[in-house]
Amino acid sequence: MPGPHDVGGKDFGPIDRQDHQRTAFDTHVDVLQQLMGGGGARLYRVDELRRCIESLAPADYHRFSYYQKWLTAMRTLLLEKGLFSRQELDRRLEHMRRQS
Amino acid sequence: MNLSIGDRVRVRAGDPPGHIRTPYYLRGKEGVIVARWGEFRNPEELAYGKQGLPKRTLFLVRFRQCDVWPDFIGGAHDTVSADIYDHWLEQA
Amino acid sequence: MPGHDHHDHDHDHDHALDPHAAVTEEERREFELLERSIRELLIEKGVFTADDVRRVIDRAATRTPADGARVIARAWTDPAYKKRLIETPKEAVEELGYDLGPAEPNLVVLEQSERVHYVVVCTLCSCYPRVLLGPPPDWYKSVAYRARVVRDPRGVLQEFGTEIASDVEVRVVDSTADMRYLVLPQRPKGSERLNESELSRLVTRDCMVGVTFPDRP
Repeated sequence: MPGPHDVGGKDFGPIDRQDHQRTAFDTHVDVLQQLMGGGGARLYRVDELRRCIESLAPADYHRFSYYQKWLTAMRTLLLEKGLFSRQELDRRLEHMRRQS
Repeated sequence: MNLSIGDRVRVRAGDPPGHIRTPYYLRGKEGVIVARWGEFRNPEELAYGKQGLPKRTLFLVRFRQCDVWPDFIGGAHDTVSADIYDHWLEQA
Repeated sequence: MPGHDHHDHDHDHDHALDPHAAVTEEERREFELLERSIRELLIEKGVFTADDVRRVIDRAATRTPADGARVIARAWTDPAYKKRLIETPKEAVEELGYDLGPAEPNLVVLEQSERVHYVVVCTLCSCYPRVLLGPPPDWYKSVAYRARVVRDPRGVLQEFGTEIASDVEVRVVDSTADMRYLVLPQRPKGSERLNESELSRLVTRDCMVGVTFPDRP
């Protein structure tokens, strides 16, 4: 059974050829990748990031944007590698939610 | 296994779990090696934080579209090519 | 995250575009909070600093297709350079001052001709010769392009306004591994008097992927 990323030969309708403006979120995730990936701290390889993206539920793979997928994969990898714990992340997220 | 440019090869038909860079649409298909790119670390292992050694040889394999898709509509000589690691190929 | 409620599936169309399944506004905000949380935690853990973040944001833009266009225009005007570009692409590109570096040492140049038309894709993700073209366009990363161009390349090319004669071999190249593919288009007819700089303006991003021809002079 191919993962949701292995799409060669399928049919997803017409191609949207319009370029879309990059959001601040997109830029921020790209910055994280530059700082953590090959050119920066090298916490993980791009192959690991891809593996995490490929493990997304098919519905999420298709509805999340390119950078939303990256960020989801980064969260998985950083937890896997013990950069922070799930509790630390949840506490920080809760703190952020209260502030916003 | 000593694969060379010009060899006719078949992509293995397996469906192992994990991070695989051999696309599903080419599994079990036959094509021809048109380039040999050298040795690279195995992404299937790199994807899990391993070293990916020993390196695997990477080949560009070209397939006739009519051999890949039974209902292909296009030029009779149209092809699709992909970079495939040696452990995914066998002599056809 | 809310789950996806699958209804009846006996149609051919792979419905990745089900409007019911879009990311909600709440999820979108959660993603923004997640990014900030991760960024702050990593700064606290000393992985990088806030200054590093600012530095990367302010850093000069990555490459743009104009960089690839320079390389193509040089190849059009200098046959010896064109030969070097095809045979040893990394060294040829470095001659023009581009440092491919360890990130993308594996550039391959695909030459369009009267008999062969190349078009490039990465069906599995979005591999693209970023070091010469910058980031890939959204359509290149879309599942619609990735899924269809390997199976119906002429139909996809038509969507881009490109017609290929039936006796020309359309060669789709799927960048599944370490190699990155750059298309070297044919120099347009009627461009004989143009200089290298004028020629480079005819070379669009899309023609270096292979979905279009270069602009006419």
